[in-house]
Amino acid sequence: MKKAMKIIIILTLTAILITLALPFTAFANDWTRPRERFIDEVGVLTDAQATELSAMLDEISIRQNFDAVVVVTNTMDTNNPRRYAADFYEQHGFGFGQDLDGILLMIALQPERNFAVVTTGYGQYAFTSAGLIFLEDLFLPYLRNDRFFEAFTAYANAVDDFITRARAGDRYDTRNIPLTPAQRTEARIWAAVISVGLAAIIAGAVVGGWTRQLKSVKSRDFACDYVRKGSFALNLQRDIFLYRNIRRIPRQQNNSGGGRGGGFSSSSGRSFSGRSGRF
Amino acid sequence: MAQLEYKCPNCGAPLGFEAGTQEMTCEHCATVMDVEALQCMDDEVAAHQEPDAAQWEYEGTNWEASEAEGMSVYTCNSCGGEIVGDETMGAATCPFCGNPVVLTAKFSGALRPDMVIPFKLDRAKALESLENHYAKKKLLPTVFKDRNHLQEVKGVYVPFWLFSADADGRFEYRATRIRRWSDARFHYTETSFFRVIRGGKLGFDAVPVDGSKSIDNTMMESLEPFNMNEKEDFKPAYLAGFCANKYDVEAGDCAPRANERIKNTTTNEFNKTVMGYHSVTPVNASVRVNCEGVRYALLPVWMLGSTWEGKNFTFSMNGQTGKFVGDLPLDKSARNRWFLKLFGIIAASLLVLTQVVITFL
Repeated sequence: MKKAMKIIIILTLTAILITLALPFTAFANDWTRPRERFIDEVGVLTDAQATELSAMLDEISIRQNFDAVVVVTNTMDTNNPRRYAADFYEQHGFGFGQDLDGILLMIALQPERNFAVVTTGYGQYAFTSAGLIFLEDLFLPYLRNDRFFEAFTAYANAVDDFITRARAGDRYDTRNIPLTPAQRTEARIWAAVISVGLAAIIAGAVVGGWTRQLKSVKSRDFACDYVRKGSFALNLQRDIFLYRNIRRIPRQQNNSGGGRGGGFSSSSGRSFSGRSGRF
Repeated sequence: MAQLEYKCPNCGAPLGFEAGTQEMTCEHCATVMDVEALQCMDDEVAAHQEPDAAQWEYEGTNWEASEAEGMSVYTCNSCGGEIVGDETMGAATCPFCGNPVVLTAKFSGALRPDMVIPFKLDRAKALESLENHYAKKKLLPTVFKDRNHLQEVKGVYVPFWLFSADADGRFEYRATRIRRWSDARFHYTETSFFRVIRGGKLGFDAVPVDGSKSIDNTMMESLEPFNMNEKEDFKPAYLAGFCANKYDVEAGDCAPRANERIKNTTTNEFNKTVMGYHSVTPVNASVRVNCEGVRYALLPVWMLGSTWEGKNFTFSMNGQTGKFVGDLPLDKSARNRWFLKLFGIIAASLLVLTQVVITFL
């Protein structure tokens, strides 16, 4: 009887232990679990927009095995916004696989309208320093105009594109960063202005050349044609060294580097990359 | 007792002798100079030459009575030009301004030319050159090309003074030589400063200056060069069929222009000898022109007069080499039309090209 009780107690404890252990193993690998990838503590989007954005982030995250998260908070630590966002990412259990692959965009409307983009795991490879700047250029113009929905969808689409490119072995880096729509518009305006200016200069030069063809009466200030052959005599030739100056300029240290973006560690010590600033 | 003071060639402040390094040092800009170099520069400055004071004198020879016989002087009442021709030339128009000339007197006075370059090219060649002169000029008014506007084509022996001289020159330059290198921490630029001195001689033979007030000096210079090797001793027979202009500007009055051209050329030739520096700035130039002689010559020029919209246009051709000059009128509306046309085409092409390129960036 005692033996049977022992067996029952051991089996019960084993079952309890297995039951307790199961959620933790599932937590790290179950990418299909329901989870809010759009957290809005302020209410910058309408319900319909929030639903649409959540669905979009979920679809991209699951398809790419890479969490794409957007967080809107009232305030954030303005001294170290990147670490604040990274800690948020970890504490809320985001990330796929053992490396917690994913990216998080956090914005705070108070006190200084700050933002931070942080990424870890595969994101550190996919989002290079140049790539993070490019990503920022894609959504910041909308944020500055309080067009939050457009900003977040632009961010989500960009994350999808970045991961796709990185998996294809052609991640965004200094050599292949495309122009953002705003930069493209600016470039088009400048190109138009320069084209018109250049056209005026070229047309003016050509017509000026034709005008000069009409004038052939010019004074001759030299008499080279009448120099007596062999008469040139260089009798005095002195080159006197006077002094010298040496100027030295410190070399600029090359700090730019491709690869991972600006690296830092979260409070737990996990490695992240990211950028932050104001909008 | 007067104190000797040297000035820094870099900033002008006084230089002091540094006993430790045995060099001259400027306390103001920290320039260091070798004592020998300073002395050398000082000696060269002391040897500075006086500027030139060329005296051009021409005595010449007079016409013999037999030569003057049969020649007449015609005067233009409009521009005052005096033309010498044989008596058979009769009434004609002034080759310089197109107005009628009148016989005023039998030829007398004025010096006899020392030499002449005979005409080698005829009237037909002058007219052909005029046609070529009009060709391929997009902004020349089309109507101007009409031959009917041409009024006068005349072969004229133009009086020139020919100046021969030796030029003595002395030139000083400030020059720099730059060397650049880098190490792990700095980029270095070393600038070495030099005082460069050049001196010597250059000879000139027969530099021509137009001796006639009636003829535009600039136009005559435009016709150069004349090949002086083909000159001949003057004989009145060369004037047959042509007219000649009497000189009315004395050799002495033409000399400044000859001096100027001789000095410019001498300076230019010596400038070419300063090589191997990154920058060269002339600081002093002195050219003394030693005159060797002046000769009076008649040089062959075809003068062509034309009028258009009430304005006179004069063209001329070197009767020896065929060089043709003469300013042409500008068709302003054609110029504006061409500008807009070119501007439109180029701007449109550039716009399309740049916009396409930006699309793929």
